[in-house]
Amino acid sequence: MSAIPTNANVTVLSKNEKKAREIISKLGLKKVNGIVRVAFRKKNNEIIAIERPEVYKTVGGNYVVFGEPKKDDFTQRLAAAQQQLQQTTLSDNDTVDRSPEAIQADMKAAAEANESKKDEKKENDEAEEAEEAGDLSNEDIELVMQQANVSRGKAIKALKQHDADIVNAIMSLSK
Amino acid sequence: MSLNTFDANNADNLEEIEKQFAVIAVEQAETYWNLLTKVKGSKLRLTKHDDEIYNTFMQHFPEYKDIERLRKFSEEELKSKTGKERWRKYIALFEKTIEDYNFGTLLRTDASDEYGQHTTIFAVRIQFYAFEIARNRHGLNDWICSN
Repeated sequence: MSAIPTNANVTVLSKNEKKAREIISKLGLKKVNGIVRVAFRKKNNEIIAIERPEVYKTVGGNYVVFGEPKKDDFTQRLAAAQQQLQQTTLSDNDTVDRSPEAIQADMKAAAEANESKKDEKKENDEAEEAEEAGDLSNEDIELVMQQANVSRGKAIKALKQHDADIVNAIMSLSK
Repeated sequence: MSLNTFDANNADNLEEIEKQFAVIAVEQAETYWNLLTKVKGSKLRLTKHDDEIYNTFMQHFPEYKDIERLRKFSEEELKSKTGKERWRKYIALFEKTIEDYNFGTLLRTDASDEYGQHTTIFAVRIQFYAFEIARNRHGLNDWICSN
């Protein structure tokens, strides 16, 4: 048995997956190259994404996708992308000083700003998690979490806002 | 249009906004139905005031102690002249306690059926609560739950 060299790009497939792929490959599938990401969007903007998938096309025009699906929080990505965009437009505007020192200072400032933002975000999250359940029943909170697919903090907040009305709380969260 | 310059008395009724209210009624119905498919109605609590809503409902409308009448009623019972008068008194009791007490809401006339074209009427939220809390308590909605 030959050893696999370190850093080799080897994907180990489970026996079942190998079998499934073999069977499917006999159906006359054509591999589609160059696909970076396959995303499934569900009703409440929840996204299930497969990064670097293997995609095959059938003669009939259907697609078969292999890969590990991951839940993807679209709103989070959007916020991150917007933040990045803002930062790049900001730094594009000040084209005055381009000496190495100035650039370094800029970078440091940016890094620090980022750092503090991260901290802030963390604090916000914690604050949300720490939302007191008060006289809400645990069952209700869990029901809202499940149905609206949100964190405990958010579920509690929504329930409080709607005077413990479960249907209203879920509705306010799934928009 | 900013909120400061918005004058409710002179504002036009925007068709889009009017439609929104139907959209919310449908969303509410969908959300409620989804809940019933996940949780048995008899275990479901709808508001903080379920007991009050239920008890007053039974006091004001003792005829719905009859489970069959609770399961299936006719629109006429709510919207006839005498029906309207009785309901108005009941609805007024919850003006202060229930946030959306007079929101337009879809209500099934038959608890053994889904929301359908002929089995759904337009009521207000507190009427929905009254019927659905009572139906849930008597297990009339338990069949919806798949578990």
